[in-house]
Amino acid sequence: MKKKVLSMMLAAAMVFSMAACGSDDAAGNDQGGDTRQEEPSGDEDQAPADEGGDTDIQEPAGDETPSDGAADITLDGSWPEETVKIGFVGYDQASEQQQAITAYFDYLCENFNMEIMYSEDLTDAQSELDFIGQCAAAGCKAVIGYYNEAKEQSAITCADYQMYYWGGFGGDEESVAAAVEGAGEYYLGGYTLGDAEYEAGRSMAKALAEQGCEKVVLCSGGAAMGVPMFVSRKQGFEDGVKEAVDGGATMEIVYEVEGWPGTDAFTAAQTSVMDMDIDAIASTFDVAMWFQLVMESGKADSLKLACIGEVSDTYYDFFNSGLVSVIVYDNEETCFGNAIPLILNAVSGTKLVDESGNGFLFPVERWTITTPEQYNSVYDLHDAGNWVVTAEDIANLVVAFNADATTDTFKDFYGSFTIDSVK
Amino acid sequence: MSEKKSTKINLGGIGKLAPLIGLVLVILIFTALTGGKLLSVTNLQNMANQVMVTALVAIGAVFVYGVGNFDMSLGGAVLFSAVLGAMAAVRSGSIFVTLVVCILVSVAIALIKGIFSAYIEVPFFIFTIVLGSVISSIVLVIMGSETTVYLKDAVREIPTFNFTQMTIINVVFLAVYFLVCLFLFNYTPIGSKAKMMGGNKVSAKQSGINDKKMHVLTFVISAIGVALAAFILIIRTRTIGSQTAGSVGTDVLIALVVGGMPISGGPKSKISAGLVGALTVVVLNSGLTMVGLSTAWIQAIRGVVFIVVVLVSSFSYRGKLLPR
Repeated sequence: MKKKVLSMMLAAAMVFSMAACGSDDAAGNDQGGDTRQEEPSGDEDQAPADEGGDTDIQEPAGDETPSDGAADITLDGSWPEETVKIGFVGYDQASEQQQAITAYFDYLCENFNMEIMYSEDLTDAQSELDFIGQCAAAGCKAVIGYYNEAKEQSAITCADYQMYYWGGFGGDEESVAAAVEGAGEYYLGGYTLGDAEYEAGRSMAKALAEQGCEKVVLCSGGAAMGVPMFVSRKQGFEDGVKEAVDGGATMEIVYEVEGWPGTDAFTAAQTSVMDMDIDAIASTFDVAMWFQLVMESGKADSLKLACIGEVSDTYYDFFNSGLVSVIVYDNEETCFGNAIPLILNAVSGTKLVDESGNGFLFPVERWTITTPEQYNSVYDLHDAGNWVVTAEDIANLVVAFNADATTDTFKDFYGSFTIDSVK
Repeated sequence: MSEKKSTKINLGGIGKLAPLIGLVLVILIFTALTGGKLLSVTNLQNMANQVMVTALVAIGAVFVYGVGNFDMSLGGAVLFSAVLGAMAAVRSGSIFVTLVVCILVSVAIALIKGIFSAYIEVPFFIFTIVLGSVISSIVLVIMGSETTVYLKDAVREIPTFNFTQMTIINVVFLAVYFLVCLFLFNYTPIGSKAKMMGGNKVSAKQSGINDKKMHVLTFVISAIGVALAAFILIIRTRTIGSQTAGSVGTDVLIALVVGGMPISGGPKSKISAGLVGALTVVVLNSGLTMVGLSTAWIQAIRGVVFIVVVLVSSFSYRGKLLPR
C-alpha cells in the first residue's frame, strides 16, 4: 500500500515539475533580446523590381530607423505591443524543411513580438481542424497552413474562431476562391509555385542532361499511387528527358523505383539499381537514402544524384563532393516566410488585399541549384545566422513600419528572388 | 486479516473512481493554469468537436472489448466508412444518403469481424491488425488517382455547418448514442451477457449464452458508433483522404484504458470508460496546448499522465484478470 501511494505521489510530482519546466521553456522565447543583423540585408539583386514606385522596399534594409511616414518602431521584439501568437500546421517536425522553417521563424520571433505554436505531426483533415481549434483556445491570432488537407475548410474554421489563415492550397485557385468566400476577411492568401511540381521534375532532367548523364534511374515516389504532386514531377522529368534527347543529348530513364524508403520492395529495388550501369539517380523527393549504398558500392565518383530537397547539413558534403549535383529547393524564407508580413499587417489592422479586397495568391519561384557555389551561397548565409529575407525586409513590408508598403510591393518583393540573388 | 481486506476494498474503490477523479483533476488543474480559459464557451465547443470521433468509436468499442475481442481495425473501419460515405455524398449530393452509406459500410465490416470472431478459429487480435491493413489497401485501390475526396465536388451542394451548428450536431449524436449504449449495456441482457463472456467464455457458454450471436451483435452495435464517427468526419472536414482516421485506433485504445476499461473485457467493463477516457485525453491536450507548452513537452506529459491514470485504474482489476 505504501509503495503504491508513494509511486502515485512521485508520478504526480513528476507531472507537475514537467509542466512547470515546460511553461518556463515556452515563456523563454523573449530572451533573445535585440538580435538585429548589423549588416544591411538587401542588395540590388535581392531587392525587388521597382514597379510601383510607391514604396521604399527596395532600399537596403539595414537602417534601424523606420521609413518615412511610419511609426517610431524598432526591431527589438517589442512590436506589436501584444504578442502575436501564430499556429503552425505541420505534418513532420523531423523533416528538414520544417526544421529550416522553424529556425527562420525563431529568428523572426526575436525581432517581432510573436510566438509560433507548432502542431504535432498531423496526417488528416480532422487533426488539422482540431489543432486549429487548439490554436484558438491558446489565443492565436493567425494560423499558417504549411500542411493542408482540409483545404478551404481550414480557412473557414479559422474564420469561425476569428483567426487569420495563411495558405495557398498548393496553388489550387478553386480552393482559394472558396476560402475567400467562406473565410472572408480572415483569409490572407498564400503563395503558389504555379506549375512548379512539373517544372521541378523537368529542370532536374535538364540539369542532369547538361551534366552529361545518359542513363538515369528515376525514383518516382508516390506517382504510382496517383499522388498528384509526384505524378506531375515524374511527368516533368520524363518530358525533360525527351526535350534533352530532342536537343541532341543521349539520355534515357533505364529504371524506375516506385514508392518510398522503408519498404522491402524499395530496398530490393535499391540493391538492384546498384548493380546497374547508370550515370545518375534522380529522385522526385529526398535522395539521402542513396548515400550509404552509393558510397559502399564505390560509385561515388561516377554517379550523380538529383532531388527535390533542402539546403542543409545533410547535403552539404555530398553536394560539395559532387555526388549530389542537382537540388530543386523551396527556400523557406521566400516560400513560407511571406506569411509573417501578411499576418503582422492583418493583426495590426492593415491587411494586404488584392484589388477586390480579398486575400490573394502570389507566385514564388522554386530554385534549381546545380553548382556548389550556388549551394554554398545559401548554406553559408544560413550557417552564419543570416537569411535571404531578413527581419528588416519583412518590416519594410509591414505598414506599421513602412507606411508605403502595399500589396504590389509585397508581391514584387517575394516574386523577385532567384538562387542567383543570394550573395 | 480484516485489516488486509479493508485495504483491498479501499484500493478497489480508488481504482473504480480513478478515471473520473483523473478527469476532474485534469479539468481543475488546467482551469487554474489557464485562468479559466479552458472552460470558456469557445473552448468547450472546441473540445466537444475534438472528442467526437474518439468518443463515438470508444463507446461502441466497449461492447466489443467487453466480450473479450481486441479490435485493432477500428481506425480502418472509420476510414472505409468515411471514404465510401464521402464518395456517396459527392455522387448523390445528399447528406441522408451519406449517413446511410456510412452505416451500411460499417455494419458490413462489423459483420465480417463478427463472423470471424464467432466462427473462425484464428487469433482475433491478429485478424483485426491484418483487416485494418487490408482495408487501407482497398481504400487506396478504390480512390485510385484521387487521393482525397472533397465534398465541394458533389453534384449538389452538401450543407455546410458552422462552428456552433457542428457543436450541436456533435453533442446530440454523442448524447443519443451514449444513452442508447448505456441502456443496452447496463439494463439489458446484452450488456450482462457481454460482460460474462469477457469474464469467462466457457462459463458463459455453459450458462446458455449464444456466444456466436453475441459476437456478431456487439460488433454491429459498435459499428453504429463507427458509422456516426465517419459521418461526423465527413460533414465536419468535408475532406476525406487515405490518411483519415489514421490515429483513431490508437486514440480509442488510449481512451478506453484511461477511462478505466480493462482491455481484456469482462465484468469490469463500463460504457462510461469510452466517454470519460476520450474527454480526459481531449481536456489534457487542450490544457497543455493552452498553457503554451511545446509539442515535445505535451507528448511527454501526456504520456506520464496516461501511465499514472492507468496505474491507478488498474488497482481495481490488476491481478484478478489475465490479459488475453
